Amino acid sequence: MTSGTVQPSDEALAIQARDGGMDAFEQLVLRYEKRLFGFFVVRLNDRQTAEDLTQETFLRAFRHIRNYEPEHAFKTWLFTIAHRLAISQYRKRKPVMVMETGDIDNRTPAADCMADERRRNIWATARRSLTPDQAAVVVLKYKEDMSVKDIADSMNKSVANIKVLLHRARKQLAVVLKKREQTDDVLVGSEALET
Amino acid sequence: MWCRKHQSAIADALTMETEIPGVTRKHMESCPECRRFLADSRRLETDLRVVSLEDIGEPSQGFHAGIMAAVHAENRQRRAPGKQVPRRALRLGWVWAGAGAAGILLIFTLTISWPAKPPVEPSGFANTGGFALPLSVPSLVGTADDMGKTLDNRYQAELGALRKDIEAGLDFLVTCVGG
Repeated sequence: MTSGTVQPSDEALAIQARDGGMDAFEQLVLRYEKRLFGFFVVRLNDRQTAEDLTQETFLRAFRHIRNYEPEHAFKTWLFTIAHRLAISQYRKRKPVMVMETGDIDNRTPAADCMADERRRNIWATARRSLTPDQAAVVVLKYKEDMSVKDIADSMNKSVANIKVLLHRARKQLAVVLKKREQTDDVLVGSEALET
Repeated sequence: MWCRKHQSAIADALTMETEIPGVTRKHMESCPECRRFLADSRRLETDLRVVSLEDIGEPSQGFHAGIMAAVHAENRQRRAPGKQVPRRALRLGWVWAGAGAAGILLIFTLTISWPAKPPVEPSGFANTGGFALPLSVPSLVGTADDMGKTLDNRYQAELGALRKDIEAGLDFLVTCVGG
């Protein structure tokens, strides 16, 4: 809170970028590159493709920045591009299922540590256990804090459809996490018996 | 059976960030299953909000530089007016080329197959001297020679008009592809 300057909004930066401001566009890249990368990783389960698609998203945004209308949220506009790219990528090939080694191998024995580990790995779990659409909806809702209406707009789906996707995603995650919890409890129980 | 309905209402309220309906709240007072469902759902939501996406991994070194290099390259291409090729025109290039080729083929076919002279009238028809064709073609009145000349002129005029139309069409295609 030491800086007294107010950060310009995404929309203000997008307008500057639309008028040829490269610095403004770079600011937008800095704000969104990791978020988009995360979105693609959770959705496609492939880091290299996630990097490529993040770059392609910014390139398309730059090409079409003249069409951006500031009355719409820049975030929704950007994630609409990202979502379309993810769909076309998903059509090209099925996602690669990569096992997170850290998710399983680095488990600590104590139950509270397990709970922390489980929490910490919630996105890795989401990445593996949700469908691409469910993963996208969860990221946009809980990480990008977008409203259900905005998510529906950016994914070109109905509000009801997004609600169903969210509900199923939460249910699926709860089931997977519960299973893991039970497995961990058994492990902790057996360790306690050994000591 | 009722729990499923109430849990659906709870999920809906969480999704839309609205109040849980009174009926469901009342049901939860006596239903530990639904109370647990709400607690678990809230915990899950909190975890999803709090835990950073960066925990699933950072992009590789030079990621930002790579993006900006691509954007700057795009910007340079956009600013070079001579080198800029409209993407839509580029995409449709093959379509236009195909249409042009079809047009040229059409002209070639017409030039080859179109008779140089109109068909010769039957001799009996030519010997009739002065005659009148049906009223629908009032201009073709006179001797067979006159009629032959008239038809020839009309044929030439129509062929010329057709050639002009095709040339105009080709010019248009060239303008579209070039512009």
